[in-house]
Amino acid sequence: MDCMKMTGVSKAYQNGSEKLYALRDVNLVIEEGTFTAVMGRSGSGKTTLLNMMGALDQPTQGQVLFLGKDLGAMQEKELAALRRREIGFVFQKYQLLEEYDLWDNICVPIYLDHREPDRAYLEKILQVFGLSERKHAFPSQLSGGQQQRVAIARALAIRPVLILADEPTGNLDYKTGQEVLGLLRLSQRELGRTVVMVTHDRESAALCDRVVTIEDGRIVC
Amino acid sequence: MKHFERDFAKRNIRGNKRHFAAVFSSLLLMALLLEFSFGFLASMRHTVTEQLFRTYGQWRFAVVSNYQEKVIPSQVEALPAAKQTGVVRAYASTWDGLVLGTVDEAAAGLGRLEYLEGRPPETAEEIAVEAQTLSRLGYSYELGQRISVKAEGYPDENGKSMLVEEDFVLTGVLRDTFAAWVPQVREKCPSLIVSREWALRFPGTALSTVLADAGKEFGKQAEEAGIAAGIYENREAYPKETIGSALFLFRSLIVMVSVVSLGILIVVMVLSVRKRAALWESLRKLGADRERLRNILFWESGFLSLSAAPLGLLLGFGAAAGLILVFGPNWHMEYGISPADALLPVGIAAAAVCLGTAFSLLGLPRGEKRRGRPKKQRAPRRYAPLKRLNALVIAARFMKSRLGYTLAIFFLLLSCTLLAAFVANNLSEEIAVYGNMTGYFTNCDYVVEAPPGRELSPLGENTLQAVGGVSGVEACYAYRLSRRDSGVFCVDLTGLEENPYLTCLDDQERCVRAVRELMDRMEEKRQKILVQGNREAVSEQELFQNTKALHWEQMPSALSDYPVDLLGVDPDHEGERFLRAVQEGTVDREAFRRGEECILYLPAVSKEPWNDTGAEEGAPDYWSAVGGTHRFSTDLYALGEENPNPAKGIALIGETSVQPGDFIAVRCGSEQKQVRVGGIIRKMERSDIFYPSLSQPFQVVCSPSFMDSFQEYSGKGGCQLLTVKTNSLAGYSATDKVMSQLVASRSGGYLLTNRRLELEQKSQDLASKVLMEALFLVLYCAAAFTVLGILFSSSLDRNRSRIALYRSLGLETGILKRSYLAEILLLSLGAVILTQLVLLVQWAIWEASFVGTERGILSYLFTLSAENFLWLPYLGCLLLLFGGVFLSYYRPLQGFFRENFLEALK
Repeated sequence: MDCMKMTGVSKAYQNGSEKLYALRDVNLVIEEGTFTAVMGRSGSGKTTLLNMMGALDQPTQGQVLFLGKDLGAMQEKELAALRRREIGFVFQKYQLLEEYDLWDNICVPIYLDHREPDRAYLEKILQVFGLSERKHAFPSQLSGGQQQRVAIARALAIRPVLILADEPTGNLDYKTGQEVLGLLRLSQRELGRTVVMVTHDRESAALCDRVVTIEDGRIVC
Repeated sequence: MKHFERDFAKRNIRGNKRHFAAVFSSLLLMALLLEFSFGFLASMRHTVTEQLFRTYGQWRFAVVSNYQEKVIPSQVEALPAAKQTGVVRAYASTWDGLVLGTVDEAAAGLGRLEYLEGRPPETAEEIAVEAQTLSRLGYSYELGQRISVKAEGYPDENGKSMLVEEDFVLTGVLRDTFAAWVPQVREKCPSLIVSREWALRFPGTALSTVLADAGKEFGKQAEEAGIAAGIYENREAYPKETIGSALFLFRSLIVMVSVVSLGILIVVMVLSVRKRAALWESLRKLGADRERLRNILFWESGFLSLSAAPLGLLLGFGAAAGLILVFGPNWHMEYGISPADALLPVGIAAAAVCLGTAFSLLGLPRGEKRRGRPKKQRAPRRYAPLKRLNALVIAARFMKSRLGYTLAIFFLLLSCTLLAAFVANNLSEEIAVYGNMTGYFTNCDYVVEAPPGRELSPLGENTLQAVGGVSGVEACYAYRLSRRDSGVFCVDLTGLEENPYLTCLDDQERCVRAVRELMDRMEEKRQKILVQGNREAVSEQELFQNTKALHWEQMPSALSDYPVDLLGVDPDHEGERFLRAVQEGTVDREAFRRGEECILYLPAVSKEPWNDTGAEEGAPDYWSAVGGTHRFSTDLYALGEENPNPAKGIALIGETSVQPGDFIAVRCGSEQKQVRVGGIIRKMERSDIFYPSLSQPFQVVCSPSFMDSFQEYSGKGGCQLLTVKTNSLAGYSATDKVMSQLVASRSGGYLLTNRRLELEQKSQDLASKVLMEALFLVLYCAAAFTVLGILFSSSLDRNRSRIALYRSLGLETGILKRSYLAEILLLSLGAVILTQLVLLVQWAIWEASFVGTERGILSYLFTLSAENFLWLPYLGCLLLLFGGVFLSYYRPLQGFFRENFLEALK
């Protein structure tokens, strides 16, 4: 089944009498269980594309289907619920909550959903990510790589169908970046998640099953 | 985690204390100001209400029996609107209208009856009497003395009435209360209070008056119940209009400050949300919908307000209570903050927090709209090239880039300038008024003048003190005696040896004998005798014909139409003014007091008529209510004036004709007495002249004891000068009303009011008002500048990257620092200019509405005059603002540069 299907998706902004297109007539299918890299220069529309997929933004034209459901037809509440339960985000700058420790940071989407966390599952993730012993550490006590691992663990905590990563290695050194990519790969292969990653790095993109290039808002390849 | 939003809010506050300091401070400030203002207002209201109750009684309605309709108290008590009732019963009245009766406990409470001494009567032999009544009856205030009462009871159905002729033992002296009440109620109130036991024994008829504390619908209910007796509402104690302009003024202040505080709170809360836009966006991406974000905000507001508001309310309550308890007595204020008054601001603060939170939701990110028109993007800003950047331009850019903070700071400053302008405006207006009026002050507040030929019953000090709104009295009795059948002669007996001797020529034989004795006793003294009497009789006297160098200065008979006014004044009170004003001679105070010396007042009159500022209605036409003025009298001539009119007589008494040491004759009826002229006053300052009768040809000013020595003097035609001290926040008008009723009921004279009372009270009120307003202003500014410092500090953080950019592009730190000075200047000037515009609009509306010209409001806005700008207050305001903002900016700025740009320290 297609995890994500975008048909004729455009996103335009009005600038006086001119229309500025962030995305132009994008047709894209993301299959379930795949690791897709989205590449392009700055301003090409990568982040806009990711926001469309993550139900954070609405297209001016076209349709976005997630697991067969039209995101455009959903209310804000339903979209938020989608982000809590089925879509996990990984940000370039980690975006951890400073007031919470590692464990609570991972559980934030679960808390937002007013559910109790599955301790066994989360412990296992922490173990795999090598963070078991830092469970009660605060983000300021963690290194960049550890923080990004926490962010990925947070994305995985809700057992998402789709993980969207916006330049997850952008703030990390090469070695740490590779480790983080490895974890994302693990999520896809071992846990069966669909991963879409925005990246500048060709080496990182090479690890993916598929590379989508975007230029001036259009999918080039 | 069950309550993530609550927990998140708590942790967020704990982890970002610096950020939340502005919100906390704003909440604290708002709560403090609200509680302080309402507490103060409650006490003012309580004070005025208590004073009105004390003066007029606390009862709202009175149901008064008359001979046809007798009130049944139980009927009145049964009315639903009646909360509490008390019964006053009148059993008899004396020939001069004093009522004998009973007052039950409830009525005593509702009527606010107070005992100056003693207690209420308990047995049939006991009586309590009002203070003034005791004086009228000729008794002292000594408890235990026997009081004889002779009164006639009210007629029964058959027209028969009982006589009361009894002696009672005085057990209590009451404060005079009833005098200020509605006349129809007052007439049935007893100033002679007997016990219930006596009343039970009294077989005669009683007329009941029921005093009721009741709701407004009492009157209607009484009518419906068929109560036909007189129902009177105590409108004086329950005025429909707001109590006094002072309360209105303060309420306006409260409204203004509350609105501005709310505005500041809203802006600060919205800014707080917007500053954390990244956080909200992250949470949104993690699946938080708008409802969850809203919950987080509500919990944040809840925690902050639950910590800030009670503290602020407590501080405000403490400040108000403390201020009143410490300074209240000086301001004639009583503490009166009830639990309801203390809780009202709590409700308002809670509503304000909810409103603030609701507005802060505006700062939350909104989800993208579903497909529709493309979102509008702002056109890119055009900035000047870097080389043209100076402090002013940078300041403008910084302010624009953090518009929310700029607006919050600006509104804070605007609230300070509006408040300062308000205070300065009031201060300057009041001073101008008082500055103009001081020249008309005279030394008394009221003159009670007896009608011609009638006796004046002086008002006692206790009576006046007892009346609500008057806390102290300086009463000076001035007796005035005008006789129209006398003339004045001055007989120069220079060359005759004599002792000063008083002679009256009406009794010729006696006069001749007296002069002969005088001549016999004279020892080389040159004396003149001012003799009062008949010219023909004098001229026929051989004695005078034979004196050497006799110089007649005689008045033509026409002068006998001019009354010689004898003015008796207490040398320790009003007499002091005359003693001070003596221009010739030296008056021996003790001799004056004993009646052996007098002062001659020979007034000159200016050729210009004195300004007549307008008479109060009902007052004699020669006196007006403002300070006292004189009608121009053609009867007066300047002494030494060219071509004086001999027919008028006064000119005959030249400046040298009467000297200190001379004797004059004074006649009262058929009695005549001599008195030595101790001193002469040629001219008195207007402010020293308290009574218009001093426009007469001349006055003889003597002591009361001299006047009392005349057996025929009965005090008729006198007047009483009263200086009262009022403590009423309700204003001078309440005292005026009380005095009018008192004088009408007790003294039988005319009441003339000197506006000095009002003006003095205004001066006192001004001092209190200015102190209050200034204190308010200082407190508010201190709090506002503190919040301002916090806001500025937060906004500096936001501009960190921009400042770093400027520096990296080569801009000197000095220019950056100066840009903040420019910001202070721009914001302060902006606040002051906007304040002035607000005042101009206010002035234009006032002129157009009340001055009554046909010009439109807009035209006034273009008619600028210097006086509308009140330069000095605004200069002060600007300096204050500039200084305050500078201080608020200084520390955060220094800290910021120190933390981020070490080179700035060099």
